[in-house]
Amino acid sequence: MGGSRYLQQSTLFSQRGLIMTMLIVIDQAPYGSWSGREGLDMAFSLAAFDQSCALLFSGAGVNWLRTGQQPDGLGQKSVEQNLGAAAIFGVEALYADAPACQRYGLADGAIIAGVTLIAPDRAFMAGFEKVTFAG
Amino acid sequence: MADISLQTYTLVITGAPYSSQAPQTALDFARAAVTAGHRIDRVFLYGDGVHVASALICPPSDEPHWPRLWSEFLAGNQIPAVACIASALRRGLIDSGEQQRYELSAHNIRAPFEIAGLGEWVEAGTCSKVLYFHSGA
Amino acid sequence: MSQSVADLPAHIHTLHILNKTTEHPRAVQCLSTLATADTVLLIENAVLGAPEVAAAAPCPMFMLAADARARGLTAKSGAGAGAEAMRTAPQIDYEQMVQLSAMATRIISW
Repeated sequence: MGGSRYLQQSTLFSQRGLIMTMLIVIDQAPYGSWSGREGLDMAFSLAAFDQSCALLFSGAGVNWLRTGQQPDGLGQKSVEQNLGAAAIFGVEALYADAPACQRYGLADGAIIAGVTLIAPDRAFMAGFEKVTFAG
Repeated sequence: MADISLQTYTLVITGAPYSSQAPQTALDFARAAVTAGHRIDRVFLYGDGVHVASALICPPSDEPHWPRLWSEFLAGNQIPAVACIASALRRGLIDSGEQQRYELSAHNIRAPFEIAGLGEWVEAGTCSKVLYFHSGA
Repeated sequence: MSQSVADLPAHIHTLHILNKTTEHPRAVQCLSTLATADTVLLIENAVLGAPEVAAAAPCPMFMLAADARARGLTAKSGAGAGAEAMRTAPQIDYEQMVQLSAMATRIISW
């Protein structure tokens, strides 16, 4: 799925010459728990202080990336706009767990723009100096 | 055994006392680290971990008093401690400044914890090894 | 009671600290990330998954003695391969947990 966007981690780094430091992993679904929001706050804070960081949405966390979220009925705010502007804010990359995207029915077009599908395997995780969860 | 150099740690606690083991595991780690001669640069409370800084927690007398145990450890070792403001305010952990700002009836942060932003966590990460203690749920 | 000074690895690339039982999705992700140069430390509820983790991990595994003891894993009772695996998993104390963290180049708390 999304074949052309499914990049090998090594290709990505050599192409873009990025030096990743911290990977923040969001693996819980949106709106029912808050650790995803807390992870986003961490990423945006790092970016605001010019610290290199990237976000990985894995497992149920890929559901943060679905287009067309309207959480106002729950009294919550959508993060779609923030995520769409992540690159402008200075977050180096948004990654999504490709198998999880498949599991949750997130095909190309259903995912917000600017997300790179990857396999969150040993090789991918090894590319980051620090790996953290918000909670 | 490998040669072990002295470290500077920042401990981040994201699990609440009495809901998770995070504050207990973190304190046992912290005590062992200090005993071994390592330095703890600061302790940062995030998410549900901010409850460690509560001055109003009243556990049964036969249970450990985690906020008090943490306060005593931090004060005794002169280790700065911060509760993240965004997490704290949402959960009703308030200092006197925020009490005035929001015209609240009380404040309840236990010394030596202070309320500050995520910038403290970002800065800590640039100069120390950061360890996270999450809920096991 | 922990083994007398459990043999700690000489080098640790990544120390994985796991506090969740093996059916937790994050524990599954942790196990898939382990490399031979890493070390995995089971704390809190994760000690209950020691036999499974030991079988799956390509690297040294330890568990916190206090957490194993709390959950009755050091008791002499219990039969079968699982119980035996629980009892023989290398146990360490908080002092050794600090040592592992000092040695590791990278630490991930799952």
